[in-house]
Amino acid sequence: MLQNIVSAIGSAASPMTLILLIAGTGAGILIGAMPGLSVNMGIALLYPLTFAFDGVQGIIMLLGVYCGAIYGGSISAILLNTPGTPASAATTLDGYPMANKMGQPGRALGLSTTGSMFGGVFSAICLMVFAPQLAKVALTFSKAEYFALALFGISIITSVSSGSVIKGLMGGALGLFIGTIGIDAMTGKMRFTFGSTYLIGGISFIPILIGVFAFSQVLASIESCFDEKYEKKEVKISRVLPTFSDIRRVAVTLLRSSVIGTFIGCIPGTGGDISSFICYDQAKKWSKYKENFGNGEPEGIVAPESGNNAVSGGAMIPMLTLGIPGDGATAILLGALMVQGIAPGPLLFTNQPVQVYTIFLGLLLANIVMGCFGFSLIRVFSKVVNVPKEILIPIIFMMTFVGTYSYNHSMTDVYVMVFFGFLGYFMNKTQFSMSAIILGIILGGTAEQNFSGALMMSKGSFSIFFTRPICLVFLLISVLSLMSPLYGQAVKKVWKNRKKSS
Amino acid sequence: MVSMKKCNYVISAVTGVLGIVILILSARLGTGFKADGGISTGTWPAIMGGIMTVAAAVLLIMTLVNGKKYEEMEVALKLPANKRVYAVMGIMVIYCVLLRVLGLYLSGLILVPALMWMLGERNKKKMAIVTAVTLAGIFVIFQLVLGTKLPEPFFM
Repeated sequence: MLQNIVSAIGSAASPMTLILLIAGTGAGILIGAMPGLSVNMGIALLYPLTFAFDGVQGIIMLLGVYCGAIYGGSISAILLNTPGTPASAATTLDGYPMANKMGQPGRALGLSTTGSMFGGVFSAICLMVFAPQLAKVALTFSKAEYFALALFGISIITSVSSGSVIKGLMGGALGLFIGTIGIDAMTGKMRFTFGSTYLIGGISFIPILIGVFAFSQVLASIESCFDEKYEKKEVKISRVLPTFSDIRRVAVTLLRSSVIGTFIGCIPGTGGDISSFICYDQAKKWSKYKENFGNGEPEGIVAPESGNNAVSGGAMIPMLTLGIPGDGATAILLGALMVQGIAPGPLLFTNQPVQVYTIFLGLLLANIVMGCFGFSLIRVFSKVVNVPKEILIPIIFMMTFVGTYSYNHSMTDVYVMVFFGFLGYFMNKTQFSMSAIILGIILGGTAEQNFSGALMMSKGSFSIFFTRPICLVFLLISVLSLMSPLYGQAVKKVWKNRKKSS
Repeated sequence: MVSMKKCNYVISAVTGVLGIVILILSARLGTGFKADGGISTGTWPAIMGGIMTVAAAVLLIMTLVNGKKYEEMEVALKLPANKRVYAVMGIMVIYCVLLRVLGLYLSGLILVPALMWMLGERNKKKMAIVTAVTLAGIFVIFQLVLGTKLPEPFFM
């Protein structure tokens, strides 16, 4: 194990990996800071750049984008009262008042950087400690458990991330169906190719990914900025490093929010937005300065920021050990790993330990680099909020075309990307979940093969899925999550009545 | 504005038809189980087709039962902002053709200023600078640094 760690340190600390990490983190902060661009969009846009690099180098760059983008959202949240990413929505509650009413934007940005870095580093350490232990448990899983896990992952994201569970289910089924196009891995027969050479290899998920997460989102930005008048925001940022008294005031909140964020990250389907609000609520509940929340309270800034960045490590735990992503961003990372020949799951820790430890170290370093950027270059990054949409949007469109083409040098991929971009624009408006579609495509092959394999083990009997306890639990949770709209309202009513009576 | 009720009807119809088509095509591939207990080629896609068909039916029923609720939910599809998006979609379709014919850089010389114009920019100098910097950046990053091949004109 020690040798693997030493090899991983050598790999993570190589000059090219460090350059990619720094570039990815910087790009992530810029993307996160710009309202209208999301973490998922940033990862999807920069993902094609990873094809030029071997192994985990490109993955490390994407980790930098992931961590940087989550943190970057706090910059516009604090300076413009508009979160750059949904995960920073709670940061506006105290970040903007501190910057605007109290006239201390530097202090607010410094606190958010501290929170983000601490939360990210904490969750990276948790990832290193807990992931190998969970992988040992997952080694006992058979094909039935893997099938149930794939279903669990898709159903959780379907029920949590879409506005309508039924539409989420449609999206998930659509994604699973798209995954069947091409040659059947088990029988070698061609499915739904209609004589097309392109379809024999299946529809690659990369053009679909860029289409639904990047292209469609830019179309939505064009709609949202229709009547916007451009206003340049001049901000004078003085001291950024937090004072010792501020650190003492927020220390407990930092730790509490990091724990909460890491835990929430482990639950598939949740993300930084849920974590940031829960951490904010908890911070307010336990704070000695409750009445100051909403008026620029330091704890009100570090709580959501450490909570949302702690999600990164937490979400990587089920993704690396079980192949189930914790949120939309890790769903994209899952696909990226598989394309690079790194198959997440418990066997990853035995077959490719150096790659695993390199990813652990990469996440840790990404959060440290993010903190360093935040403390030293925040004045530069904060200028990004003033980039007009008329300049930004054409650049992003060009990147979607270039990125899609660079994967396979196929114009058909470009047409697929544009088609799914258009489709994604309308689907987003009508409460569909893009994450469910992408996850269906990524996990479809795994789900089908394990489903068939489990039935072969049981000679065609479905009882295998109900007699194995772990499999049964995952299937039950999947069904319950999909049926949540039926009993969700009743549970909420009972809970409200209990609160009223107590 | 269009009501979510109408949108749900369209979604139900499209998804239902798609689900049925998938079921028919999967049946031709062969559904059911093999002698060793595994599934045939068309079984898994047939299950997905079945889920989509059932989900379409459930959505239709839910929309009929909760008609008032979905009638009040509005989806912005006909506003001036949406029309600008549709115009950009049209530009994108034309660009896909131009990309194949003219290659990335020549078609980019048209796309970037066209989009900036559509978004309200009227300063020609700014449009020229942004176009030049964008294309130069793509050339440096993708072709020089990463060595990626990009679309070329058909005459090259």
